[in-house]
Amino acid sequence: MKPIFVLAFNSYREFLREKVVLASVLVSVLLILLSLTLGELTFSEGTRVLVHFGLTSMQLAGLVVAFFFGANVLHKEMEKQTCLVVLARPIDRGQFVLGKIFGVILLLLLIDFILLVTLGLLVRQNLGNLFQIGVGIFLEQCIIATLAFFASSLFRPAVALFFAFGFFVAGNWIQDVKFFFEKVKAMTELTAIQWIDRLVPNFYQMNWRSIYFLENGIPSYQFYWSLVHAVSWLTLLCLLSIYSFRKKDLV
Amino acid sequence: MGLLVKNLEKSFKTGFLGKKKKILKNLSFEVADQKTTGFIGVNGAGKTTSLKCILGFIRPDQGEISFFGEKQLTKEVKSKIGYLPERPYFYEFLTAKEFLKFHWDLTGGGLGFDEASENVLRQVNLLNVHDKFLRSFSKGMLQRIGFAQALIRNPKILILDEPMSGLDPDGRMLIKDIIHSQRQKGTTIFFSSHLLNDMDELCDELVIIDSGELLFNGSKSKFDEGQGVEHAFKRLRQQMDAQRSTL
Repeated sequence: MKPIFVLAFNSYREFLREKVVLASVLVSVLLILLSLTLGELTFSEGTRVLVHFGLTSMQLAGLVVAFFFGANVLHKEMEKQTCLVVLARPIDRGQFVLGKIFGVILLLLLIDFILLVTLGLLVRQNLGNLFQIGVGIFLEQCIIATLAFFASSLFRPAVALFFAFGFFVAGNWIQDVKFFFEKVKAMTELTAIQWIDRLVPNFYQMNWRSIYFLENGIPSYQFYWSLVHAVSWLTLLCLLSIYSFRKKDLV
Repeated sequence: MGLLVKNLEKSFKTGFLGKKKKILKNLSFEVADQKTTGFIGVNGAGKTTSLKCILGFIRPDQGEISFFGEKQLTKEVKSKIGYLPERPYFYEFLTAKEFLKFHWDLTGGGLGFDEASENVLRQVNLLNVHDKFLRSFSKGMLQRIGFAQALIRNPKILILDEPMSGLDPDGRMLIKDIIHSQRQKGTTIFFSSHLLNDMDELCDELVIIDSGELLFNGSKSKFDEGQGVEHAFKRLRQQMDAQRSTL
């Protein structure tokens, strides 16, 4: 296990020095602050504007990082051949892949933590709900990063980016499409969509932004179901990435 | 035997149609324990591909590779290897000492890092820049810090891919000194180069390949018959060209 942590921590340090991380966090913090001003323009809806703006900017900052690093990290290692001296050490490729993925996840954790704390300090109510919503956003970003990582072990970064983005769109809005086909009674399309629904992560199940103002928060079974769903996807994608990277020739 | 390579073959798909091109053709050679062996070949002969197959970066189509009699490249075997790649690209955001610590930790960590790092940094003459980021290093300095990471765990075998290419005379001299001192310590050294004078100076044994095929594997004295590696290599090339023209 130790080499995985060494690699993860090293990758995390590497990512922290990328300008895109600082830019994403700064833009998000600015958006949260802007939402404070926008909230002032509404009639007693200031908190709602702040929460929605804040959570959306948190989701976007993490997604930029997840897409960017997920799709690029492995490609950069192979192109610059920095992975060669690492893989010549007594570690296997599986540990290398896990180290890199955990590095991205650590970075996402840091970004989400900073933004969630900033938001929490500003709203100062329903913090339990805010935490649960934050967990949902974090899980979605982790899956996206791992999807992009897996795709980058097969394709070029640009293709990997489209691949992960396709899953992101499908995973978030497939319920709406399903609903539409149910209403127009297009049975063939509905069957196809139901199949796709089984093949993509259910991101819509992790989107709890609308429950912030509910007193009871997310039902615990739904919270834990989403946790298990996300962990299952992460495990599957890690295994697929390891399998794919093990087959690769590092020319 | 330090390293044994048997019937190694590797092809790569090339071009739009993915036609297969054989890079290594039934390559077999051995690297004697505690000796310095030079791996010679012109550009494109398959030296780097062979080294990458040996270290498990590339899967050979067929063939057998064994280190110290072990046929699998296990973690235990890997912990006895020090490797310096052809292009010294490392994590630029680390300082020289952090870079060595990273490699120390990857090989199990433990006590003694400060002493070991100071030792290797002194050997490669980088002790005074141990706290500088690798991004500020010149190519020669990167090559030397690469050498330091290869040495930090006192490997039993050193595999070096073109360790002296692109270095200034001072840098080359330093690398040669390190190779000499490692040789005296009994480390098995296997390094590729197309700088024949260096081979002359450093090697006990030679492995010579051309177009992925073995031309010679044996002692340097047997190859050059006291006339120098460069001269013997020229003669070998002329013989090959003559053979090709008769075919």
